Amino acid sequence: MIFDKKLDAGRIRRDFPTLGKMIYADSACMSLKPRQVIEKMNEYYYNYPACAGRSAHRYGRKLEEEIARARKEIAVFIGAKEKEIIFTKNATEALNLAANGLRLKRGDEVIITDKEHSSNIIPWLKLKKEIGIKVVICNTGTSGIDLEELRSLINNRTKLISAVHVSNLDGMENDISGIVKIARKKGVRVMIDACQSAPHKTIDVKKIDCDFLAFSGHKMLGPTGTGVLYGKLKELEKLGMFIVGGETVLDATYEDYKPEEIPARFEAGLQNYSGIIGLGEACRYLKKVGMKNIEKHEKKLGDILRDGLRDVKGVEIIGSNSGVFNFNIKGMTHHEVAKILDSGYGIMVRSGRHCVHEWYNDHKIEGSVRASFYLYNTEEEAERFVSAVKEIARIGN
Amino acid sequence: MVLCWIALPVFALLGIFSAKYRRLTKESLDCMFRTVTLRKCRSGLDERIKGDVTGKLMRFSPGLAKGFFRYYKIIAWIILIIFIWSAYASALGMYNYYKHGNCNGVEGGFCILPGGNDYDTKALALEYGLDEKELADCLEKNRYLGKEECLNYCLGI
Repeated sequence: MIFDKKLDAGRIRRDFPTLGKMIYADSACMSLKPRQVIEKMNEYYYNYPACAGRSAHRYGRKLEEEIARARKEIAVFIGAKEKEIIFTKNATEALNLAANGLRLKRGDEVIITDKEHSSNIIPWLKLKKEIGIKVVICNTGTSGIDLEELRSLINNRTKLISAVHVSNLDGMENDISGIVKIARKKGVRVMIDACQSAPHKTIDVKKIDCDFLAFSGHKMLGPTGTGVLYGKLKELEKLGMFIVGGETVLDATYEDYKPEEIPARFEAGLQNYSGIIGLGEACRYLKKVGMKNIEKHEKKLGDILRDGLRDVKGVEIIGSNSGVFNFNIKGMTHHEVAKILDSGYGIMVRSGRHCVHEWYNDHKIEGSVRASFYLYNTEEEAERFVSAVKEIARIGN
Repeated sequence: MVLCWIALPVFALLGIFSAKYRRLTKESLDCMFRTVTLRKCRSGLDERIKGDVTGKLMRFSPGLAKGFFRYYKIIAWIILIIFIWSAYASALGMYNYYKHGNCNGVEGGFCILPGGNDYDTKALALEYGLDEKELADCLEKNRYLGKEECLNYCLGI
């Protein structure tokens, strides 16, 4: 660990070239990248810009080594085996790969929660339209999934529970262990959307005991266009291939083909090599800082936000956990608030429905403003955010 | 939304030089079209402009920002009316310049366009039954008298 007890955000900030006077509070959408990740990616283009898995020359071999190193780094990061790591272009592709590879049939049921990102609801709704699976919604409320309700929703047609670990809407955390425990008793598979948890807390897939887990690289200091699907080896062996083509087969004739080994059979075509190497470096960076330190730091920032804005007139808090603060200001639209924060205070936040359209429609809320802080945000920035929101609330009321 | 109406010609003009503004022009046009057809503007352009201006004002005076935010509709209407009026005045000036050689028609007066401060000698000669060339020479020769006096002298008023 770089910092044993306390995370020094000031020191960390020096690694992020874009950080200056502006406050970046949109990390739940896209994290910033440290110099180490950018340099590692450039290293590929400068020193060994070749193909992996095809070319026997020195560049090809070097790239193979780097990809293997990145895969190992990512596997260690979530407590998995290297073979269980499948590179995708993002979590959306990872979830789609699993959804389409499970070979669900008409009448099969998939349980999801009511706070899923579009990436973990649309693939299931598509299968509902196309093959007639049933999508069952389990409520979460403010404190996470209702395990009793979940238990009651499982029946002999239930094939999978696909749940978000930490919601991108409000940072609410679901009891993943509780979900897996119930699923195991009923013989149901579990898939976890870890996009908002993998960047912020320790993930150990062995401990969680889930069958699949998906996350994106761009939310955890990694490059865009990178994602991972973790699958238990025995589950991956049963999983159908989703995108097929180059590098997914050992051999082929005009009539048939023989699939590659796992994980290569799921990684079709030329890959985002610099991205994968960058993602490996991002995991290394996070590990050095220490996931526990990051979690603690974000909790402290979240406490500043919640304590500072809890009873402010006109501020309607939709939800807030850890470093995520989702709110509206009475008398103003969410886009107006976001624009004022940007142009007036240099604070970048996200406004809209945060890809959880179904939840906003169900709650009849047009949209909201979401501030999401990460390891590079300081306590002073959180305080500046609080005072800015207070000032803006006075305009609207 | 009134803000889109104001934004449209401004962005359209800037759009000649920049692709960024061409995109904004399209948004303004869409927003204006939806407003005219009594639908809600969906681009969010009005909110962005309102938020952007309010935010910039916040840096100088929160009170001013509050005033703008609350009364932006009235402010936008005033700007729109001024805009339409100035567009009309400009068009009229251009017409006069083309037709009479100065911005203000037959009477003349201050005009920013080159040569626009001169009188429409043709129209004046016709109105007062004088020879156009003689009138033009007279006006030229007696410039030192000042504009009004020179005109009165040459027209024999």
